[in-house]
Amino acid sequence: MNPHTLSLAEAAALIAARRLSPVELLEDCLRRIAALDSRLNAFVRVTVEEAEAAARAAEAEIARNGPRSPLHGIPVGLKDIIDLAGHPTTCHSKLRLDHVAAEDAAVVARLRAAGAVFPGKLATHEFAIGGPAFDLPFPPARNPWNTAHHPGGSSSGSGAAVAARMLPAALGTDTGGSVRHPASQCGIVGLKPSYDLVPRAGVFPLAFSLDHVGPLTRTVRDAALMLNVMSGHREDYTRELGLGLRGLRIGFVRHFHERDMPAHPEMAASLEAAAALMAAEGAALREVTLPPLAEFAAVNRTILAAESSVIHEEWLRTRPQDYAAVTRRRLLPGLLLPAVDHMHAMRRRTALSAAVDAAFREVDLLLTASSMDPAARIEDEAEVERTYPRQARTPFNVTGHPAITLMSGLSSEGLPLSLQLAAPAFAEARLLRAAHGYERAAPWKDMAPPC
Amino acid sequence: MTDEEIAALAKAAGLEALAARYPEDLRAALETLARHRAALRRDADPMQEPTPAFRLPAP
Repeated sequence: MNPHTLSLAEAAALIAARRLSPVELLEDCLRRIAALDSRLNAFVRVTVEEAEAAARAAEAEIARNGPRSPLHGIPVGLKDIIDLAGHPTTCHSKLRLDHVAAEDAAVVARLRAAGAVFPGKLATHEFAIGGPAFDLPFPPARNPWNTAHHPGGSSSGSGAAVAARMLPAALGTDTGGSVRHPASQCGIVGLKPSYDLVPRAGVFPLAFSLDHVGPLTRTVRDAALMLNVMSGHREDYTRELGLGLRGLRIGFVRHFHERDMPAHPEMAASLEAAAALMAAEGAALREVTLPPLAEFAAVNRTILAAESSVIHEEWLRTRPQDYAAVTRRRLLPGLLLPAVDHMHAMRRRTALSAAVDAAFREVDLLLTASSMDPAARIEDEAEVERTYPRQARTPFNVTGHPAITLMSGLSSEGLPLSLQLAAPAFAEARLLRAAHGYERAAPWKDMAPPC
Repeated sequence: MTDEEIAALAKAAGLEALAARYPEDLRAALETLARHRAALRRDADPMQEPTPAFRLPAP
């Protein structure tokens, strides 16, 4: 058995049965990291000694009392905008190299209390917005399916590390799709929970009213187990996983990827195949129309510009040379934004949220594209810029509804294809049920990148 | 947008130093804003409230 190949749930079951030690699991993950990270650049820092001490403590406690939770002894990676006490939170930036977190972020404290082990901090786009970039203190993470390609972002290292089986789970953050983008490009599961379900304290903000913290995992069950802890056990999000798709009403938002932003043909075909599979599993699919994708994107980007500007104003004025060029270009609009545009965006947000809520009065879930294209080549700046905004994730940052991305196929180039499901506010149990139902019926769950 | 117009906007935003050093970034930022503005629906309905609406903090 290679413990690094286990899903979180599989590892947790073996740990609970005393057939796998947290130390064995961590050491195997560390070997995997050592073998691959020079090619993938998923980590900006590996915290070996501290993680080993935590794994040994977990091993001893589990031997005495059994596991505290399914996460006890499980290695979890942290995007490097999330505070881990005693370690820098660099945000992948020259501007934060000398920062040291005084305490854990609230979500990290919850994971630590559940027994999770933290083997390191993971690569991100600078400040969760500027990337991929080659003019930063750390190189950008690369896609395990093909290292010439971008792994998605901004939670790039989280996506790469989980897909490459370096870790069973990682945390990312999602302001315009940054958990779901790497999930879509790396062929794993990325969950953006409802706004405010997971605390953001101790997470470096990009845009407070759009920011969400979410898990990246290899399976839907693992995402549910992570959310149980991350949400402070608000509910047991695994409770509906066995119910499958039968009887669920799913609204297929085809116009997002057919009319608003025509998707790559292979992505479009995989979405049609996924819809057909969901119907075959007993879901009732119907077409749903929402406001145009461009309108959601404009509202998201305008609010993001306004909210990020207050955090970066001083640095942009005094240390602009310390940002990557792409970060500077993406943050600068906030300092030039007319207040009236921001207010129009905030007023339009009310209407867009109402439109999505109205759709959820007719259906239980929405099925949409996540990315419109497979991963771009990372060094092809023009292609990265072209494909970066070609996505349907921002609507659910604008509205705050929960959304999940998972694999829906492989392109002819061997790169992951993806879909997205969204649910009414705080209906994560239903969302995870449907995603698990699809995952179980589709053949993609056990596909691994060739690295 | 002319260089003079961009310089005037940069001055109004207190970004003269940055504009002198990274003029292309400033131009790109303004183009980005214009793109977003073009896609942003504008509605003067006086009854519409922004999200989140202002809430009086509890005493």
